[in-house]
Amino acid sequence: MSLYDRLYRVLPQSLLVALCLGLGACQINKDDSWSMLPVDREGLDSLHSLKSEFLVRRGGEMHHLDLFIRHDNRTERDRLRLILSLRRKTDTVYRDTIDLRLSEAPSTWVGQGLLNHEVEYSVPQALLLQEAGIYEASIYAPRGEETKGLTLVGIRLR
Amino acid sequence: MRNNFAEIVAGFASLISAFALSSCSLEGVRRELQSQDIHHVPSYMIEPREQLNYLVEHYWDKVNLKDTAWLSRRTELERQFMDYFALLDSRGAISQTNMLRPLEKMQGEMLMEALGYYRRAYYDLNSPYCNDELYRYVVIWAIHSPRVPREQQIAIRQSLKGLEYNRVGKPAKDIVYTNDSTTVRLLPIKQKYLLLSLTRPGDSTAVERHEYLKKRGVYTRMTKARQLRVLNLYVGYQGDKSVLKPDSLLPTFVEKGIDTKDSIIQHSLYDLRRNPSLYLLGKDGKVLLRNPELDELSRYLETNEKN
Repeated sequence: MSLYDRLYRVLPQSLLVALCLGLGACQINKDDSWSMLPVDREGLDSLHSLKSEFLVRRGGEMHHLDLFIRHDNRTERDRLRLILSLRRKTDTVYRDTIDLRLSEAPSTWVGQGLLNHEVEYSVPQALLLQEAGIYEASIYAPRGEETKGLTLVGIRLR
Repeated sequence: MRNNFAEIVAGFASLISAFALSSCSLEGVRRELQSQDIHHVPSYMIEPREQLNYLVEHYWDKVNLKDTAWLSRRTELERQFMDYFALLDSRGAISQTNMLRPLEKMQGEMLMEALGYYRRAYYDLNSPYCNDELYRYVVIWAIHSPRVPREQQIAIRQSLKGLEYNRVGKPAKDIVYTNDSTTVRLLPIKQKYLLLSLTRPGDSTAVERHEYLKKRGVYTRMTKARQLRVLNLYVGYQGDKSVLKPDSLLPTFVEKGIDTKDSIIQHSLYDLRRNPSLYLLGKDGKVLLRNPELDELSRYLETNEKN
């Protein structure tokens, strides 16, 4: 068997490996400051929400709340509404419905990636957290919101 | 040639000195920056609760609380304490050791300043951390500490009475009061529960509170079943018995009484910071709830109604 034949044989596997590596490289690496939750079949409603705690070491400072989602091509909508909230004990510091744009035009996803698409969103206004301590951020979809195709959500307070 | 050489040497020397100076100032800035992160948490701690526990235990490790320079930065000092109180509040189950840790390191004017922060945080009714039991730790520590001046200790001791008397689980102070015509004692209690409402002049929530008591069925049910007695005791009215006249707004099951001699105020028998001050007493005369919110009180009674 000539060298050419050998190369020809391993070419499809090599291409597949390269494709996988390429797809992987398209995904955003998230550091420890993010709290992530894989979304299972149950979806992401008020019963299956992502809740995560963050420690604020100093009160009276401005902070930012970031949201991250990963969805695949099963997604059939161009927008996704999610409720994002931040609480300290029983006090709600922030709560709003976020309207995420997933697609700008037919077949054009906003997020990076080929099979999985990732979208990041930052709450536009900085939040003044008066007290230090543990804050709980939570995210879930409002009632009736279709979350098919959503595979991962993340939240971060910085 | 010599001049050129001298110029080169001088230039070189100035370069070296400039470099040394800049490195010194950089070192100073670096130290300053490092000192700003006095509440550092090790990077291997990722879980927020783990970080919180570490921070509470080591919060004051790098803070020099003997440094009187803090007095020229009181706002910053107060911030440090308020953050510490907030962290303790987040952690819950606050121990005496954690409460007193910074005080043990302080003295003089700094200590007096810090005692003021504690009072504002744990004794002031408007504070989110107001907690009589926690403030009691501070007061007891202060009146026994040789670092607190005697005159300050006398003033602090005054607030201890209100904190010591009628603590939850302890016997309530007996009171002699006057109802329609006779003088009666508060103790012993014949019913299962006695709700004592100590009302001073200027009670702005009376109408709202009485409406609440009427609407929430548990009070009517339990008073009918003779399980509960509700006593509205007027204090600070200097014996003015006109407050005992029938009041259509008051629920029918509420009894009225007046502390004609104002002995509650004179002897600081009950903590009267709130108006009204509510106490739920058990049959054995012990305090079951001290200044509860009305919802909390109602839930307690509803839970124990059938028992």
